[in-house]
Amino acid sequence: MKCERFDKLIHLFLDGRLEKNEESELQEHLSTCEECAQKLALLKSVEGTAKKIEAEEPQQEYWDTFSSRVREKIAQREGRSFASGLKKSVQGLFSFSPLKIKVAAGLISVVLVFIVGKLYVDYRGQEIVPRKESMQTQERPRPAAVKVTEKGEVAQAEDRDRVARLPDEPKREQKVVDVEEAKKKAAPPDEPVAGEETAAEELGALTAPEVAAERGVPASAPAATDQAVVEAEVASEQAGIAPDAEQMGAGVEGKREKAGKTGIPVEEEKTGELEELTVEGQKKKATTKDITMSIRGTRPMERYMVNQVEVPKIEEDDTLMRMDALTTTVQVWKDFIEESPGDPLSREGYLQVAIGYYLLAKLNRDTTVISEGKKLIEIYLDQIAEPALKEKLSDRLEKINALKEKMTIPTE
Amino acid sequence: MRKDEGQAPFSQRSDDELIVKAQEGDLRSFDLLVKRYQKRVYFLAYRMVKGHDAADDIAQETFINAYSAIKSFKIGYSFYTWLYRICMNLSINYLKRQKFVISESQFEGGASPLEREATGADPSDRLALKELEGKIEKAIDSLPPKFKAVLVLRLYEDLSYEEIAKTLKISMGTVMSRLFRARERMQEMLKEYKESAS
Repeated sequence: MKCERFDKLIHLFLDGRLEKNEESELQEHLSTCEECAQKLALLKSVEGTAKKIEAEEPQQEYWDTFSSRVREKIAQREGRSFASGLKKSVQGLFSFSPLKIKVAAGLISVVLVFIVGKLYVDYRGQEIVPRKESMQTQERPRPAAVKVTEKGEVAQAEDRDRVARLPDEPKREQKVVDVEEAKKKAAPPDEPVAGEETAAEELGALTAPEVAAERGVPASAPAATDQAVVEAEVASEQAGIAPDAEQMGAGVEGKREKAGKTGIPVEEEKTGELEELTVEGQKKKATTKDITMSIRGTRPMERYMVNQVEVPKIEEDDTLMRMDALTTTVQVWKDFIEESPGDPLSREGYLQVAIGYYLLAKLNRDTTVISEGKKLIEIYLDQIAEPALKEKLSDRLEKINALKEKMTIPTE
Repeated sequence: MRKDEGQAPFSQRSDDELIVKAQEGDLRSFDLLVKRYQKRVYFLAYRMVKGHDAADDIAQETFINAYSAIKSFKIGYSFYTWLYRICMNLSINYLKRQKFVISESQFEGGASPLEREATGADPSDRLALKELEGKIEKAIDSLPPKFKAVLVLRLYEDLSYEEIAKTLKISMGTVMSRLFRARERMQEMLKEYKESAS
């Protein structure tokens, strides 16, 4: 214990850090403690010997060139650091770490999804959303779900006779359209896909203006007198394809050629000798082929502009027309007739109201509606003088009456 | 009027003056600093690593590192202490890599002149003294690098505790502790010499 304390003093003594009184104390201890005296002597001897050990000194040339060698190395390092920085940057670009691969894969996926989505939207957009010029004409034709007879002939050309008509427009002349010519004018549509539905069908039998409204496209007046459109429709219906009004001008042949290249099958044309197409729906015989438009959606729809409101033409067999659209259309016509009974358009209005009530009654099976329609038609019959129109209205009235009788007879 | 007029000759400029110039990118000033301290740095490295080649590498590396970091040097601080710290760190790292530790079995192999000296052999024998120096060197070399660093700075550079503490960035207490342990270990290794020394 005693020597332990002097151990430290020995070390401090060797380093010259002892106070005078400590040094005296140590000397006194060393005179009595041989072990500590030997220890100090050993350490002094070892350190003294160690200090005398000379390091081998290099030649003078070494010292003369030392600084220049240091300078060279500094220059090399600086050049290398620039080069290595550049190298690292380049390597960084081309090295493939798992993270980089994941990021790259993610980016490629996003780009692919965007491209595919864009193509799809463009493709669908061409089919679904008509441009202004096509809206100004008529509802776009749809791919015909055609029912072909065993003979492969087409019938019911009268459905295709219908064209849009505006009240202000001069009536169209009857036009005989040659199918072949129409085909040439018909634009190649987007690739027809079997079973593909048109926009109206997809939207649940919405009417064309509704479609337009849903798509954010303003529904314009159905000018629809563009001869090319009419002809294209005919041709396309015959060909079983849906020409896009935008693409008018290209031939069906071109379309088929294109489809052939892309491997998309094209329906064979169910052509027939469509004799005459009339603008006003004056049905001429479709003498050649039997074709049945199986659903309402396959036919182009006419529209009227009544009191700045666009309404669809109500067809007698149009049972797929939505109830609210039907009610609205009837009301628009009723208002118009009430305001302008002498207007030439009112002539069409009388018929539309009569047909509308008949359909409402048929769909609703509501005697109130039947009675309301019956009364209104009777009032109209008093108002109008034109025999042909009177006769048509009377026919509708008879139908409504028949419907009423049918409803009142209890079924067994 | 010359720009340098009134200033000391270039070779006699203080460390701080040269460092300021070197910090401005003057390689000539740094070159002079290298020449001023090259021997001290080299021998310090040599004491630590033993061997010219390793010492040369470490000495050069010390100045290269100093040049790279010269802008961070604070004027007024001891330049050689700064250089010593760089040199010591490089040396310690070198020793750690080399595992430059001589085992005691190596140290204790065979009958040495020390033993002969202790047994009454001729102490004036120069060969025996040479071998004794070798033993002491080996004993120092066998110390762990951190202990060796303290001992080398104290023994060969004659630095004070404070200077050692600054150089190695350790406390005074640590310096004393490491020095004490290093000496104890030396004593243990050279116990044969104890008797002859007494």
